[in-house]
Amino acid sequence: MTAIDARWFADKGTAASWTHALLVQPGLEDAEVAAEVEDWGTCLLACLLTVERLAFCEMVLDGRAASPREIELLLALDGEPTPATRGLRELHRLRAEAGPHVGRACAEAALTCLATADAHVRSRIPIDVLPMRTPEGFYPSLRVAATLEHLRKAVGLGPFQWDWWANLS
Amino acid sequence: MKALVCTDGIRAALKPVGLGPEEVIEVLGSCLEGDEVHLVGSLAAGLGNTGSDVDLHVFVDEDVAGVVPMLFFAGRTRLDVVHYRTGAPAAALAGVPVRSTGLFGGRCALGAVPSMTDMKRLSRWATALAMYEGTRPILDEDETARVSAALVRLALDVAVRAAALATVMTARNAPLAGLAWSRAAETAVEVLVRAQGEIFVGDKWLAAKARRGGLSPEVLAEARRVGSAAEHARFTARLGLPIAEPATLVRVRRNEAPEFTFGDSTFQLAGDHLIPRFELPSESLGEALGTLGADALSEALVHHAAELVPDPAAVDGRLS
Repeated sequence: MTAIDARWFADKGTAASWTHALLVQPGLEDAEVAAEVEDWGTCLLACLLTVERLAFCEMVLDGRAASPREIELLLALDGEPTPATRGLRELHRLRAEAGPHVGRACAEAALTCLATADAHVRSRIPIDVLPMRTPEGFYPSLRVAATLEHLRKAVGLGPFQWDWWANLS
Repeated sequence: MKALVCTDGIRAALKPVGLGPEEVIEVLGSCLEGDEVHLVGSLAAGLGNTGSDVDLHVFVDEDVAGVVPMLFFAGRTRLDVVHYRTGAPAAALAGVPVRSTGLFGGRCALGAVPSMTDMKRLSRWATALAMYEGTRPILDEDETARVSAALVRLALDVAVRAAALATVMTARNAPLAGLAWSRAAETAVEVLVRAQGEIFVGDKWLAAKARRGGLSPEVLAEARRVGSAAEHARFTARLGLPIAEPATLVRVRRNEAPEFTFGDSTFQLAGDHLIPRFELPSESLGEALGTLGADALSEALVHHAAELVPDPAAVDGRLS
């Protein structure tokens, strides 16, 4: 068993969990569904936008987050390379080389970048992030959210501003 | 009381997710009470796919407690319902500019547009489909034209801002500056597709909107290849978008924040961070870069101690 800094978890861990649930998960679905319907151009762009959100999630966990909005986020990503920022560089290369008709191979490479960045970010969040936007995950994720609120109160933090995050998605 | 009949439009729009309006009504029950029910979002705009959410806006006469989405499921499809007061569209329209000018065969508003949140909402209302026969559209034809012009302007403002921030990233040799320029070029393409009538706001749909608008795929490929200020300038010039020298189309503003002085050092609290107090010589991005330096300016922008906003008069000047 490894002890977790409760205050960090209540603050940054909560924010990262909500970021994943409200910003990353919809992006993961967008990329997967676009691949299912073989809309490779949309898939490639959805992968990029979602890896950007994962980069934001990394910044949240590191206490460096400012804004998840794309332009400010790219401006903020200037530190040491991370799995998410490496993914962004790889996606930039894939996009530049994609040509007018984005193909399956390019989109699949983009999906691999996305999966790698997502696995890394998930591994840094101390709890399993539930698939909030699914019938089976919705209510359990609300219970987790309630527990996080109790934890925040216990360590002296105010309620989490989840509605601000919800309106970003 | 007469029975409500679902429109053909809503039946067609829900097909990608394999639902009929009756199934949606059965799941949502009393949440849909009232005649003013509209499908909004990607499905209503004809862009959705099998994974799309069914987004519904219900207009009611009584007060509503903010904009609180309610989530339901029909099978694995998400149904998102939001209630608005009947007067909400008129209130949102009040801030939309009336004047516009021609751009790419469409109209582009002159002057500042409302916030991104309000404009996104207006984009959903301008592309909404009524659930029931006989329901008035949320926006009439003239209002839709006005909102469309404002959405083109919003895209233009975003394109200007994206290029200006890429300029800051280039000034500090940021590792992702190339990506920022390519995204700035894609936002320029968004201006074009919106002017051609694809007014739904949603970053991920750019390729689909471009395809539907008959834009050559080569244009998007070229945007993705853009990786520097010079390439961006050539690309936007070829496109015919008047945003050369983007740094001259924005203003830098310092945001007020609580200050803390420790001995000789004064900091301002920006979000969760303390950053050294700074003064801007003017609202010019060029001067701010020259005086503060790219690193300090980036720090201020990232932490919202300063912000970069399109200059409405300068952008209007380019449009005319």
